[in-house]
Amino acid sequence: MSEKNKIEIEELLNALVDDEATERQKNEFDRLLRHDPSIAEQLAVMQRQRQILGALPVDSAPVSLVEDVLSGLERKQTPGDAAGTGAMVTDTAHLFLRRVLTTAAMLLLPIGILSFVVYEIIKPPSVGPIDYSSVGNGLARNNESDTTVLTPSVAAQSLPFDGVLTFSTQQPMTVSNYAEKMIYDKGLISVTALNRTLDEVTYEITAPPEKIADLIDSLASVWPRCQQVALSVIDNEQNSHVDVPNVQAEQARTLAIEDSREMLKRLASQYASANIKKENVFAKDDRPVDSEIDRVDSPPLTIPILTGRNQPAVNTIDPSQPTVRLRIQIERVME
Amino acid sequence: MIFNRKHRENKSLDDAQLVRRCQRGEREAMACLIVKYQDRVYNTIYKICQNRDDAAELTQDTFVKVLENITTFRKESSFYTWLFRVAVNLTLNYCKRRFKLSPVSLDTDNERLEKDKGKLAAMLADPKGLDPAAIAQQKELSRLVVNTIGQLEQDFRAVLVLRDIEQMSYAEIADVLEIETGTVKSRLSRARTQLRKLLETVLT
Repeated sequence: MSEKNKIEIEELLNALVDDEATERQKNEFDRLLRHDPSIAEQLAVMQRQRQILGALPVDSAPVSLVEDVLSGLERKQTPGDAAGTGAMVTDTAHLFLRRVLTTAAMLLLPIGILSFVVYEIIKPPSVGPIDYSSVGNGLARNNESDTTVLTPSVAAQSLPFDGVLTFSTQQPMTVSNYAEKMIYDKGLISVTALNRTLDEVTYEITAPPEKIADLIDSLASVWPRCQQVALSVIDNEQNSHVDVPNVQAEQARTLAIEDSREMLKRLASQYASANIKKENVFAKDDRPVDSEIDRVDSPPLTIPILTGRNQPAVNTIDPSQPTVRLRIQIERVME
Repeated sequence: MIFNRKHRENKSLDDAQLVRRCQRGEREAMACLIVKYQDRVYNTIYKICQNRDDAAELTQDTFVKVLENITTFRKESSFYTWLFRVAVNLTLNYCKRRFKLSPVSLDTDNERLEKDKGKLAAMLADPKGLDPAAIAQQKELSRLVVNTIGQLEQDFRAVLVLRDIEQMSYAEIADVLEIETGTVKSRLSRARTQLRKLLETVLT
């Protein structure tokens, strides 16, 4: 008998012992029995084996099993959960919710960090609040205005002059470029605040009177480029002002260094009266164009004023010195 | 014990009904289910793992696990086969771990088995003692048979115990062990052949 046949006969006998033999298997057994009567003995042994196993004594489970199981269940449930297994549905729901929230947090946290890093990389350097106050005499951004208004953070002036020098010109770009270069050259960048709109540029400079006077001197070349230059001298104490039309560079210089409030007011009024009677001598077609002003194309001042944050300003101003304020306005006039 | 007696009266209750009540969190129904199946589960586990203390612990773990997850039971199979699936899986996993931690010495076991067989041969000299039921009920003989089952490979042992001791059908065994019916038949055949060779003295 081959090994294969042996296995087949074993499985056939097992099916008979287990009473799971099909009709075909029963017929096959009858056929085998006719050829080999010892098969019956083999079947009997197998049946006996099964009877022995089936008759083995049944041991009882430990008597405390029920209590042990139920107390085991209680230990596994949340303390104070009297609903027992019925609350497992709720527990499962809570577990699911916790898993969802944990997964969401794990996903959102890196996305948030990544977004922050990307924003830090791509955001424009001149946009957003810039804290200039720690620079000392540096520039401070005025966030209350929509435009880029910078106000100096130096101490309040102690001298009387506070003026607005207005250049009305058909070439505002040329004039402002030149003015910026002069401010930069005179070391006033750190005490200058810039306000630039479409039609007007204002430089607000708070510095010692000598520095302001020096700056006005250097701006003398601007006068021939302007249709009108006016100076408004403001009296902050009396909340009044004196307008000096057709102001000359020398007049502006004199007013800037005046240390007496009364004298300043008187001088300004005198200049105002005198200048009204004078003929307007500015920007006549037959006047020679100043060559120096035309040479100024792209002064380096533009970049430090606008970005200012990471670049150390050239500061030659002693903060303990008394200061005056001059606002230089450059406005466009139509031809 | 009072607990057991009280719930033994409900032993005949329908499984589906008890499961529904368990799913509602009724502790009484849980106790009824435990009482109904505890001995059969314990015996099956004991015959596979061959240690009473381990069997007691595994039986407890089985019921805790089943009742803990009773809400997930979806009646795709009967509760009875689900319960035994959990029990057999826990037991087989435990046996594998135990075997890894402290491998059983086959030489020692075979030596002990031979000693038991000698005692058995003397008892079998009495022709009256050949009745299978009587053999099974004799303490030493039954111990010999159980020990011999322990000599089988784990997969064969599980099939043999479920069929010949727990009296499950081929289909139920296939459901419990999550294998094909054909695999059940071949494993059972090989398990019985191995066992018969080991018990030859008793059976001839």
